[in-house]
Amino acid sequence: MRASERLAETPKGEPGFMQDDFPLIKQAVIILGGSIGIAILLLLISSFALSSQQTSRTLAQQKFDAARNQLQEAEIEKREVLNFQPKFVQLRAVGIVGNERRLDWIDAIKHIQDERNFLPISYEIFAQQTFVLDPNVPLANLELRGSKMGLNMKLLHEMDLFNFLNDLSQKSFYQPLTCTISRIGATIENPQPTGLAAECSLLWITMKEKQAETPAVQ
Amino acid sequence: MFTKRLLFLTNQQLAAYFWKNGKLNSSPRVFSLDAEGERAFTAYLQEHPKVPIYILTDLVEENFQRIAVPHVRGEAHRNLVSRRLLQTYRETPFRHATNQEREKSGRKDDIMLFSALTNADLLQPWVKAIRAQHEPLAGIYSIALLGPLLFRKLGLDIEHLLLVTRQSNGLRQSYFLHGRLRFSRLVPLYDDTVEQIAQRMVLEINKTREFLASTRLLARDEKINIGILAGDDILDAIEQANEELSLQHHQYFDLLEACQLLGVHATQAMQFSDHLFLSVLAKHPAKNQYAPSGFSRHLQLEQTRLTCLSLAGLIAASSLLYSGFELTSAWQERKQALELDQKTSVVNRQYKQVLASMPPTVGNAHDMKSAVDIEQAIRKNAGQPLPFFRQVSKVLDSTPQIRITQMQWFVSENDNIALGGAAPMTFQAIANAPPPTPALIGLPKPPIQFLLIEGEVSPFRHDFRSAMDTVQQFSNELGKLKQIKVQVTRWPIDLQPKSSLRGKAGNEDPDAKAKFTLQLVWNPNG
Repeated sequence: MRASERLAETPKGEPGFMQDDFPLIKQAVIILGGSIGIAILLLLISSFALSSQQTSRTLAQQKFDAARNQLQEAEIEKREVLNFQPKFVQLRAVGIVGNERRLDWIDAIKHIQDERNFLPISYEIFAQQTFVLDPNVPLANLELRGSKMGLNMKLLHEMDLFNFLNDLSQKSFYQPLTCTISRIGATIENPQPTGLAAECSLLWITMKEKQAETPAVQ
Repeated sequence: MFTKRLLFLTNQQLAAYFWKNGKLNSSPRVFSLDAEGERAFTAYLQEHPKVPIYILTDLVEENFQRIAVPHVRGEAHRNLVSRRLLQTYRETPFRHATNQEREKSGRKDDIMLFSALTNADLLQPWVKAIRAQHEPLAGIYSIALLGPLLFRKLGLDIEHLLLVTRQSNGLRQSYFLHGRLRFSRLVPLYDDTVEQIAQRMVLEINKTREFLASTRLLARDEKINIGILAGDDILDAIEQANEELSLQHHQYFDLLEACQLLGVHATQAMQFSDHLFLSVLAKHPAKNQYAPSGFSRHLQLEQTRLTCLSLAGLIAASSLLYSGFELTSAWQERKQALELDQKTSVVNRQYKQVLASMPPTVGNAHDMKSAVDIEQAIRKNAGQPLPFFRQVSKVLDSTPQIRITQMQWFVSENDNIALGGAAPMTFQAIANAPPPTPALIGLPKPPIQFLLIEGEVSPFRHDFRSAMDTVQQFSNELGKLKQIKVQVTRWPIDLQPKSSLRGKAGNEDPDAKAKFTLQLVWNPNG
């Protein structure tokens, strides 16, 4: 037998890969497969651990944020109570907050007229209406309401009107919308006016917790 | 693959070297070419398993033939060459073909250099042992075929080159034409002294030159370049002999110097080029030359095995690293969650303290604040008639000829009220008027205030010029008031060209009056 034939025995009678070759790399393939499996397992475990801890941390953060907001609101509320309650109590006492006190207003007008010896005063208070405020004006849970009042009075002097308005502002919360002072008393015989008359339109203002009883106006 | 085994096979022995960290060990294991040597070699293989094996041969029985084969490509070329190679060297499986050039005329065949290790029995026992042990055989090489690796780095890439190296097995002479090996021969050297060896080398070189001339590879008078690699003592001796034997165009390379040029680690007592060739092969592994196909299967398997293990290591390390990173992050998240829980507890305690210290309230805190804010805003912004009237009164004091008959004050959201004044404020008119808006009571900013003044100039005496001047003067004085705009809406007499004008000169109406009207606008926002 020639040398070439002797050495060529193996390539000719090559057994299968699985029988002859695979055993040589079997261990390495098993290690590779095992490492892939362990790697996947490790990644799953670590990902799950991270995900669950992230969820816990997010929940803890949300709880903390809620608690902090609650504290801040409580502090703000406390500060507001300390700062505004005395004035609020005062507003409530003078009738700016709460129900309209029309009887108090009538008494106040009569009292001023008597005290100052003003000429007769006639007035008419109209139905209360609710203001719709700009959203930028914070109103909390309150409604701002107003009742228009027409006022006619004769004056001996123009300061009578301003004294009346000033006295009225001490006893209630209102705002004038129009005021007209005119000379009156002119006759054919005496064309020069002898007296003064005033016509005013006032708005009585009150604030009250929201109720759906009066129509809202812009 | 940083460790290799290099087997150097000569006609006398097999020497096994180890290549590690870029160095070849200087004391090889030597195996005799007999049964005892084969057994020792088998034991040696078991000592260092799974290290790639490179076999370098330096045998007398290496044959070279240049053969022309038809020029075809791809699989057909491989089959043709394989068939012709088998026909040429039937007695040995260790054969090799190198495509050298193409013929310039005729069929333009490929010129192949066929070579073979013709004494297969010299190699067979070692290769069988390697394969039996499933050891990775990288390839079988020969000194002659590795020549180009050497001479190119030594700068000997020239037309006619005879590379002469002193080997442990004898004197090897390889002839290269245009960088392509034409033939190589190994002559045993049995001489003892350096001078004898040198003389023998020169003699053999001259024989080769004569052979080249006789085979017309080299013209008689053509000079050949000769590169000689040997120990420096041999080279000195050759230089002396050279004068006598008239060698020309030669270039000597001391082995140490050649090692430096080739970047190979040298040993001090180098007498032969074996070490140099082995190092070059280890450093620049060439493509397998003589190992039959399929013989390096175990090398591929070993490479696959190592690749699998490397991948496994890489995957394990990467997953460990990534998982470690994720677990560290998870731990950090947990730490942060615990810290947040603690902070939340503190904040909750503070909240309870705030609640405990809260004074008794009569209503909602926000309602209280809003009520106070709105009340203050209205008081601050809302218009009042008295300040306006007072300012006008001051001006009136300085103009006694003006007599006011009516003053009408009112607030508005805008300043474009039609001239002529507001309607009379009877109760019915107030009731029918549109509902007031927040802007009229100063929310969110102060409203615009208007004052309409009706009056007359007194005394008049039918002097319209004087009356006009008086009204103008009154208007001018009012115009000096801060933030107040004044406009005369009615003059004592209408002088506009588009209007009619009626009057009397003489016998005037004694009750005639010079009436006028002014509009004052006070815009606190402007």
